[in-house]
Amino acid sequence: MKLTKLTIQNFRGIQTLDIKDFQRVNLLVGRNNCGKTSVLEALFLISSMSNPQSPVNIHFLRDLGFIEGEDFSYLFFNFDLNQLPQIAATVKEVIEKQRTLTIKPLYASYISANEKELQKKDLGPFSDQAINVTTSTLQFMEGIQLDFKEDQRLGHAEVHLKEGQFKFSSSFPDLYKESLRCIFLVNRIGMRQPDIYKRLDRLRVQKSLQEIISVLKEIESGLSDIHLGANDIIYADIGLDKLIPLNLLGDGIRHLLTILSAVFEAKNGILLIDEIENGLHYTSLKTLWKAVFRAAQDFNVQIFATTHSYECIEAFANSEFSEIALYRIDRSDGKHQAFCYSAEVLRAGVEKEFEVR
Amino acid sequence: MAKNKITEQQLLLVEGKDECNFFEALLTYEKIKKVQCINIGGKDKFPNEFTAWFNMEGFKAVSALGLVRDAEVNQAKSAFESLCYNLKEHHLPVPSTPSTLNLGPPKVNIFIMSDNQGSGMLEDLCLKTIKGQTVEKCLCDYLACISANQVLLEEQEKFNESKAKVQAYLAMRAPIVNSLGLGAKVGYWDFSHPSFHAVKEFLHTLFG
Repeated sequence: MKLTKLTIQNFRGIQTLDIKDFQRVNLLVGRNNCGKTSVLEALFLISSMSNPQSPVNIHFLRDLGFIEGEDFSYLFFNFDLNQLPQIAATVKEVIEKQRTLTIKPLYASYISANEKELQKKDLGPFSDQAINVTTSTLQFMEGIQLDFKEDQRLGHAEVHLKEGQFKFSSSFPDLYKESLRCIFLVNRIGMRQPDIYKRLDRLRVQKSLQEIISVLKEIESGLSDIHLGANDIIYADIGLDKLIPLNLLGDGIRHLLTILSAVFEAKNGILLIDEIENGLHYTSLKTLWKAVFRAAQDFNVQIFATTHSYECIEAFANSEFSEIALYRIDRSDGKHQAFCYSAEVLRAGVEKEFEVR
Repeated sequence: MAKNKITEQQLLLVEGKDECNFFEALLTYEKIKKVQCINIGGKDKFPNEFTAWFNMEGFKAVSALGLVRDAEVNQAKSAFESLCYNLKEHHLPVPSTPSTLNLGPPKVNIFIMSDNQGSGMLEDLCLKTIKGQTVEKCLCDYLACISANQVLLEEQEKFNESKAKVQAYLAMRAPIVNSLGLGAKVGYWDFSHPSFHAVKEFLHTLFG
């Protein structure tokens, strides 16, 4: 299953953006604040369009908390609740399917104390009661509704935030089941020790840990096994008399393990990785991409990653893998555009040291 | 690290570093400023490299785009059509004929060496400036001597008479330079010669 095309409207800082011809591994580049992470978030939302928790999750992934329903307005372009965010994607499995997600504000249905007071009085046309009515709907925004569609099948989900509590609900069309699995790795979250441990533990329960290790062994030949110890400690067997904590092998292999385990967990689905090169020395990037390409192919995962690093792009381009594309997200005069570098164009550019970011 | 970026709003795409040096010298001679000469691949590499430049930050702000290519063995028409195809692929303005400016925006023009008509290359254009001079006769005599005595037999199929004449001509100059473009930078080609009129006009209408 593969996403081939994405269209974003009125989402975050993006008014419109079309991106097409996605490959198995896609790298997004561009200046700070051009919208790379917003594109990943859009991919996440459309992949999990029937899950009302997803808009909440992407908020948390930005290290933002929720105080009130008004905070959902951050999803709307220019915080304008009249401009509804819409995300559409083409998903190709055996046949192509079109997915659409529209986000709408939900307003509170309660009546304010002042209005309740007014209702008690006899307010005829000649009443001497001065009525000042303000209609600031933002104050009453309570949540969002997600109207989603796959081809002609419609569904609906809602999330409300009331008195500090989230309430989620959804209704699916008959026999609809979310088929697209998507994992979002953000450097701050999902790459911490407890997160890596949990992921490996899930793989161990599924008896799938050895598949990850076999990929790692090709890259790090000294590694023969991985064991999960107490207190979230991950141990590596590198042929010494005892196991050693993985952390002692350096950030490179830990980063690699994080990504590979996430690739496996996203088997037959999609993996989103923000700042994929973070924490890695440039000499490790070739190893990273070799492992990622191998895992993506073995586990049938489509990957979307972002980077600022030219060395990361060079290593990406100079791999022998052909199912790649790089997208430069451009934002100028408030408008967004995606410039696509196919594998051949990217290699030609990198060979001549073109600035592709 | 990335070395190649768009630094000006006027671009001249030429085939090779030597051509870059040549046109930088000619632009300076003609007092045309703020043009970035870009060494872009030949026929085979051009489509991918052109796309990479087109996708680059800064291309959207380009106000004038010139493309120069050798016709080589084919007639100029074939080289011109190939460039037009690449322009169309990127929804850019297309000149109707070589050296006919399309106002765009951006402004776009194409020059096919050596005269927008027949076959040829930059070397042929430069050699026109010594046509009829004694030095031309010397060069022809030299090549005829080489050929008659079969002095050099290796890879004869790759022999290019125009390139050979240019190299032999430069070898006679002092201080010696080993390429046409570097020769242009030190003034070994007479830019005031009428042979350069057409290419100068191409540059002025596009960037002037």
